[in-house]
Amino acid sequence: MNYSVTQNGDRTTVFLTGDVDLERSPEARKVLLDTVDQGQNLVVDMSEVNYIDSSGVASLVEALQASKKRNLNFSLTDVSEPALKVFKLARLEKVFDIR
Amino acid sequence: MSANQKIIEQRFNAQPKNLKAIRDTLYNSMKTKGFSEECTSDVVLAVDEACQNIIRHAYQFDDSGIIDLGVYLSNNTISVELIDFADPVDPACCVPKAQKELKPGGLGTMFMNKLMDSVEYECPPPKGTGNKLVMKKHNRA
Repeated sequence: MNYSVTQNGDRTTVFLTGDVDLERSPEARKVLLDTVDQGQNLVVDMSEVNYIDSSGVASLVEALQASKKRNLNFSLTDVSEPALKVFKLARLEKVFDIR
Repeated sequence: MSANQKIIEQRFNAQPKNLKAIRDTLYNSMKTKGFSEECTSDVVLAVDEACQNIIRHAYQFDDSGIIDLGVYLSNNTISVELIDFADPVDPACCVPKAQKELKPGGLGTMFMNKLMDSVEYECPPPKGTGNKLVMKKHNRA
């Protein structure tokens, strides 16, 4: 997994690519929570996520919960087919704001 | 497809960095044997989650731990065996727990049970091992 971060005013987009798995999800978790800690509304671009497992999903859930606590917006955009399948498996496709 | 055909037998260290190679090997092997994309991706995710459970809970991230993976084919059903050498776990832990509120954890066991036709710990485990998990899935598509 790699990631890039783009900031535009009070909104930050984190672009995740590759496999968000047990090896890489701690890195994803850190960048997502750091962004929320900075008071930024967060958009996670998942168009290039090839694979995500429960550890990756857990990182997104943590970021969602942290955003809610701070009254910040959290959304997922351009979710890839493999990632959407896993969200549906976890019944999270309606919990996340998917655009 | 012949009965009890060996697809993969592989020993690897219980380290997160090894899981991608295991996923790739399993994916390619199942596709070569004619399994559908859906069935293959389901089994790959379930095996990945099972390995994660061993790494996290059985070995508690002790990266010297060993995992033996065996994948076998019989009557269009894939059978996955995962053996570790950690302390025995409570087989009840592979039963997904109902979650009333949104929590980051606990998804892996749910995934395994939803994706596979059966998920069972062999009790008692084979002599000299810690735990043996057996998961099966029939290739329907």
